[in-house]
Amino acid sequence: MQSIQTNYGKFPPLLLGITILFWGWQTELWFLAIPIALIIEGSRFIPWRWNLTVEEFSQVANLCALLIVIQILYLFFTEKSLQLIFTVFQWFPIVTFPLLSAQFYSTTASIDARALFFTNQQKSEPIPFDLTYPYFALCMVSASAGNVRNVSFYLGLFILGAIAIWFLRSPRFSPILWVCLLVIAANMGIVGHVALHNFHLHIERSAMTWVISRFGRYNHIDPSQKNTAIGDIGRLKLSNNILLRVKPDPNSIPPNLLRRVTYNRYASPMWIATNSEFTPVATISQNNWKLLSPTPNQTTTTGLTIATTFEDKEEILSLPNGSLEIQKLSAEKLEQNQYGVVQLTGEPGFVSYRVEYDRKLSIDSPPVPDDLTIPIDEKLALDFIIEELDLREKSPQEILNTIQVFFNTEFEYSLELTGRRKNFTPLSTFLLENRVGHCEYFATATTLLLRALGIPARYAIGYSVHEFNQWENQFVVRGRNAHAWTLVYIDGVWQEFDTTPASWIPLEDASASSWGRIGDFFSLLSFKISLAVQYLKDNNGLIYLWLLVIPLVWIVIRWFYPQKQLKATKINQRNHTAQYSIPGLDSEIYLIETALKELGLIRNPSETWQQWLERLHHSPLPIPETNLNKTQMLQELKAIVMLHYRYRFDPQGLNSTERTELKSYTQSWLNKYSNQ
Amino acid sequence: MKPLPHRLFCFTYTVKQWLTRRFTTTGIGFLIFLGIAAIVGLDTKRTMAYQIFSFLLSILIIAIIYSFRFRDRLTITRILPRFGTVGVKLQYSVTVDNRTSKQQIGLKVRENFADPRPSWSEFKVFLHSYSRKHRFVSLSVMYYRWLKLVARRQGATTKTVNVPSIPPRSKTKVTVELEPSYRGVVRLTGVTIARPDPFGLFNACQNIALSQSLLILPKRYQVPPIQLPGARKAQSGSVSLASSVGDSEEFVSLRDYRPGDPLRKIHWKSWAKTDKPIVREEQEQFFVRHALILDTFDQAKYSDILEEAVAVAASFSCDFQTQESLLDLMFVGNEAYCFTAGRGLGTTEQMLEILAGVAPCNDKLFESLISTVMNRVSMLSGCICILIAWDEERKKLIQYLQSLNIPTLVLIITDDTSTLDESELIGDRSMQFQLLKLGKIQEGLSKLITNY
Repeated sequence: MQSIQTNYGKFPPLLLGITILFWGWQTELWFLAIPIALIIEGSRFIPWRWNLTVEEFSQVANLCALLIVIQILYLFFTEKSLQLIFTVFQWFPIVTFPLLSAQFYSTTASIDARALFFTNQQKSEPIPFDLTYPYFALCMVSASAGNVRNVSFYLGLFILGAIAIWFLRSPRFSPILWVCLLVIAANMGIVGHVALHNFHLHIERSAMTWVISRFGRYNHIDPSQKNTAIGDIGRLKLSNNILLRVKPDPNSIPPNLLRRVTYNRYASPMWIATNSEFTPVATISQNNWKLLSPTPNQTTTTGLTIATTFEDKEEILSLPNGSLEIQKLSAEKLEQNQYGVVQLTGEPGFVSYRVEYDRKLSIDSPPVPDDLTIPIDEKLALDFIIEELDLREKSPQEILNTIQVFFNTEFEYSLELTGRRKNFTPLSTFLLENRVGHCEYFATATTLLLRALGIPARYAIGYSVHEFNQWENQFVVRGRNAHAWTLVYIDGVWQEFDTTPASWIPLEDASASSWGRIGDFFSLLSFKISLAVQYLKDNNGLIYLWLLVIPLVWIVIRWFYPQKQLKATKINQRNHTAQYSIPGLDSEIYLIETALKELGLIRNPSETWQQWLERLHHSPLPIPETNLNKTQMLQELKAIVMLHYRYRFDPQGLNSTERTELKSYTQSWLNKYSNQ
Repeated sequence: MKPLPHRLFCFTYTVKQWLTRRFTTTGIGFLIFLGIAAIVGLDTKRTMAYQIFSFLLSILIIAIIYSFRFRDRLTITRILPRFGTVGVKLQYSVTVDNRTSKQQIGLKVRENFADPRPSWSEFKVFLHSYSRKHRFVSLSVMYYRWLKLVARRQGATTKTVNVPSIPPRSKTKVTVELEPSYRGVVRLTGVTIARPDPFGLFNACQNIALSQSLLILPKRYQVPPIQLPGARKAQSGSVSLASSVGDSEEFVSLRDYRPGDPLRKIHWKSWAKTDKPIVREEQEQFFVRHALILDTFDQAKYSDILEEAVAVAASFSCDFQTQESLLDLMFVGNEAYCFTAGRGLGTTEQMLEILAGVAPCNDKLFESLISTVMNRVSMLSGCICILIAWDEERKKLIQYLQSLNIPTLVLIITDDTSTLDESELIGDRSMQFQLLKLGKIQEGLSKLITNY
């Protein structure tokens, strides 16, 4: 039976199938990935092969091109957004699949590259082109367009990539070295992609700041305005990264919400803080700051410690409602506006600060007329709800309760963004039509409802604190815990009022990936290191870090001058003659030279033995009266010289008998002539 | 200052050379993958391709760092033949000597050619060799022509050769294949030894200077055996035993001196005896002598037509039976040349060597060739003219040969047959015309009537 030909080339078996499945996993296109992988890997068991010519390959390539065009047109008319490009990328392994399967089920192990171009296929020579590696790369790029934002992608890339390049490695080096280098590369890759991502965010932020500072009406983006996702279509994706770590004082309960910014005017889809003015916060002592607040008669303060990393020179602090004092916070400047927003100016990096707060207090300024304004567009929908709930005649507390119940029972929390109905504002659509939305909808609707009833209300954003981490023994706040709620002014105090159904927390948690734990581990690690560094910094311990330079320098030296060379140079300095091992230097003929020297026959520098013999032959002996038979002596010496030459210069050298001969001839020559 | 396109092309060439020398095939594929990942991953929030980019870049950086240390003592010797022929692959051996105490695995060897990049003036001349209609060009066409000129100046190509493992302190021999593409001298400046990194992407390189050159002889076609009619002609002096200079000493008789006889023909002994000047008379020889007239009068410095003309001339000079007859190659370069081969005078190899160096003549008139032919016409039995145009001056030469009744084969090489008047090209008993169209030279040659 004829054995089945597998058209993999050098590519490792099963890897392509696994890569296709990986792509299916990342892009959630399982239903296509599984059959593709089965067809490709099935080629090892299915014995059919077609004999395809260049023209036929070319036709398959044309089919792929046609599929790409159809796909782009289809997406162009259905997606109508830039997301189209990424969807196109995701689908690439499908549209190029016919060409790959043509290779796998053809009698040749590769396709002819001429089939891919519009060249004269008859004229030029065939160019064999193996599609497996390019298809592997394509699957990886397409999988990346799935944009699953956790470590699974990088892990998959590393493992599959490592297997793929294992078979391409140079045989010159040991596999252990290869593995070590790959692990280093993987680590460099992690650092690199985190840096790249941060760099991108930084560039984006700076560009945005520049554009707004040049063309916009507001100087700062964050504290004065916030663009919400109200009215957008798609799906909100939030990061799983840990942003804050909150540790309440022993025996105290942490606040549910940490506020960053408060806004008071709604201009769909934007919230704006009108006339926001920052005033410096006074320090009590070094690194301790006292926030401006109405002096309370009697305070029952509690404390909590917040640790985070600042990416910018200017950052907004996350604070609980009723914050009075901030401790252990090193900053150049701390400023506060009338809406209770505290902005810090200082060095970016890790910070850990302690906040003293009183739940019953508020540092925000009393209500202003803007805290009661409602956009005209939204008025109709709000009035309709007020009528529906019959809120007009109720007391503020009753109103709050009714609204809370209303949103919790009639509405659903969802991260799906559904847009709006024609002729409706997004908020009206939310209130009257679909009643599905995320926290921004709930907070905005609540704020405006309260205002419509004459109760001053503001829109606040920040984080919800609810996840207690057993490992760390403290609360952690993730990117996806970002939240929006309402501040309502009742009984002379601004109070937090959160109407988002409580189901939002489990819903958000469910969207988190199970790989997130690995990310958490690294986050904890970096947190501990940052803590240690801060401790060293506070105690002037950073100076000892310079000691690390010494082993580093040593490693660099060892790298460029390996140990062998180091030793060699040491010996060289001691003994220059040992530098080369020249064969034949131990020849006995040099004894003859010494003997002749005693007779006054001196070999000139760089004179060869043969030249010397020639010279001796023609010149008289220095002591003519000696009874030396010069001719015979030189004759015998010549035979020894010939042997010596072979010993000294012949790459084959002398064998052991010849070597003994050289020795014995020399000895007999010396015995015969040197004593005379 | 050099114009921008020229500088751009020079730079492109340098980059291309660096890439092909430094990156392995896998490395090039890797680089393309890296580029795609960079483009796709530009927006780090939309795709994860930036992680691919970062990972690949890290591998590449390590690979590049690894290439910094490659100081192993390796030497190279190359045994290069003297000649090659256009279109015929040539194999020669290169010996790599490992002088280190460790085994050398996975090395690669690559030949370095002398820098073939033309200067701007040379490139301009080359561009002007195209007809005026095609001279206005886009940058891409210009680049295509640049590549053509670079290939022409380089003259040949080789591939990177894998070296088998070399044990410590020993040598190994590899066979390098050189593919000559243009006639002339190919200059090799040295050899690059490449060692890939552990990932097999990026090469550490050692350039070993080893200057050598070889002459590429013109391309040759299959020529049918030509029997030009025509009688044997008396040849001045005897050449049967002689070298290329002087008359032979094939003695016939003595006769009285006639004014004009060379002084060295005087037979001094007879003069002494008879007391009057007597000269030696040598046997005159009769045999066939053909001329191969090559037209090199092309205004363009680089012309495909002239290349083909030289190739046709080489084909004739190679296949001509020169044991019993002589073949004179006549052309005009810096001056008028005539080289004779056959009957022990010059060899075919020498003639090919001369043809390998033929350059177009654009500073002299066609008449200088006519005068060269005239000088020898009395000795010629037949003539093969290889012309690159068909104008009045060339017609004059052919008519002159026709008037002397010398059997002539006229080969006209052209890229456009429509401009020629076919009625002028009808031969007779002693004259045969053959048009050779560019790209169909072999077909044209095989149509030749071998005996007419």
